[in-house]
Amino acid sequence: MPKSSDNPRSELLPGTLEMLILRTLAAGDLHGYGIARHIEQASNGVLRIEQGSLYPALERLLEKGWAKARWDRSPSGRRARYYTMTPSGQARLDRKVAEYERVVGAITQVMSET
Amino acid sequence: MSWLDGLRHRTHVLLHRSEYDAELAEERRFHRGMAQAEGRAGEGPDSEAYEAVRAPRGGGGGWRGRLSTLADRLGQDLRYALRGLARSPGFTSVAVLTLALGVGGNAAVFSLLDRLFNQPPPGVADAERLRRLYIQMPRWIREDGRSGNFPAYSYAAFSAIEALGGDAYDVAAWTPSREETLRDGTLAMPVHTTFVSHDYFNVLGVAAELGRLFGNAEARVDMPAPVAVIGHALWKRDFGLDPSVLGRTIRLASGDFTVVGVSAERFTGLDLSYTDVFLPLGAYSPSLQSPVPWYEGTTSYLLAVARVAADSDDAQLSERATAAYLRRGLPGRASQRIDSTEVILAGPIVERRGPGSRAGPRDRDRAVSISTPRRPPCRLSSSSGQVSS
Repeated sequence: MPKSSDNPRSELLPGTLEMLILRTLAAGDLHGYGIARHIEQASNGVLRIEQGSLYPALERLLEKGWAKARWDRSPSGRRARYYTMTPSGQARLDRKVAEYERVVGAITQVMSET
Repeated sequence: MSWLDGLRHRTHVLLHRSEYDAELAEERRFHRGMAQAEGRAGEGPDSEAYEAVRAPRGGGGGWRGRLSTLADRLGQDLRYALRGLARSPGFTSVAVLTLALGVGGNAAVFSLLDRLFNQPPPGVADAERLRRLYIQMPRWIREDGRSGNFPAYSYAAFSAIEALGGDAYDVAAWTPSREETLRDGTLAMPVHTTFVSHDYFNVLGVAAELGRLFGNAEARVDMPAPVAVIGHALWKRDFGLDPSVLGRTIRLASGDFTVVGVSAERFTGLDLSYTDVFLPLGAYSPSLQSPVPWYEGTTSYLLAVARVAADSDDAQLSERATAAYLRRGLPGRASQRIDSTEVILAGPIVERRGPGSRAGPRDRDRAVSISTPRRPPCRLSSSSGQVSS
């Protein structure tokens, strides 16, 4: 995972990008650019995924078998590589979400302690 | 099966790396194109930064980088596995032993089955022209139609077939090998011996590694020739490949024999067990006691192998051998008569295939029929009028 400390907008917890991508793919198949745009829009521009982070993360998902890739026509007519979540990707997402909620809950508890 | 999906992906990347590189480049172009179209071209890192991230290790980038990354990961996995194995030596040794036994057992069984059903005996020349000879006895075919084929011959039958071979075939006989003790000075070792007709090595196309094989001098069946040819394995194992074994006298149950030769290295006889000592038929004495010499009786002690001449075929072999067989003399008991329905069949030289079989194991009863001939299926009326079988 590249550290992009020069970019204050994209400081993510380790493994979070993977979860965000899987969550995006859970809504339907999408190409890399679409995934980045979706995450950016859904986070109101806070989370901006760089190519240098996005594609290695996608490659990891492919290697783990959590996603598959195929070439297809994008609505604009250009060929694009679409990513699909596999059932094991869904399982992974569920696990990650549970973990994430646990961590966020813990952090919230610590922060609200006064 | 996520690991399977992942493995498929990695294999694809490894095998089609240049195509995959092109795919990645196209994917990046698409990304840039989309960004430009939406007026966001200035944002995001340039392609060098991207490439550096894509290929974090192994220099060079592209497939080389991915390959070395993969190799790194495989190496890590391997080291992890080895550490795990080293931590539990008990489990490791049990697993290794289990695998070793399994592999070894499979190999042994495979080579046995291969020898039984597929391979001709090792070391013979032109095995595809060698045939085992069987006597088809229609009267002995069982009610279920199985096997009335008999592999063994009396000496009278064999010599009749041998005499009529002419230019159609050559035939040789041997006795199934038996185990006995060989004594050489103070040494005693268990060996398998077989008695062979003087043409045996010629018919099989086996050469002498050392010394000579049997010749016409050893052809007389009524005159024991006290000579022996030993197998290469025995020569190596018990005589240390010493050429001075020639002329040495070895003592066997059947008497004393002078070693006159060593057979070619790969040849181990026609039986499944390795044959160590070959002796001339003249020296044969079956354990069964009989008032007449074994070669004058009707008992079938011999197995027969024929080499079909290049311009002949199985049909001609069968025809001629049958004619000879039916004309054989019947010394001994006059009560026995020649059954003119019997036919000599040519079968493959492969150990466990009977006559007429090409593709699979047949004639499973052969081994049984050697020792215990089955009773004919015909029914005999007894004097009381009742039918018995």
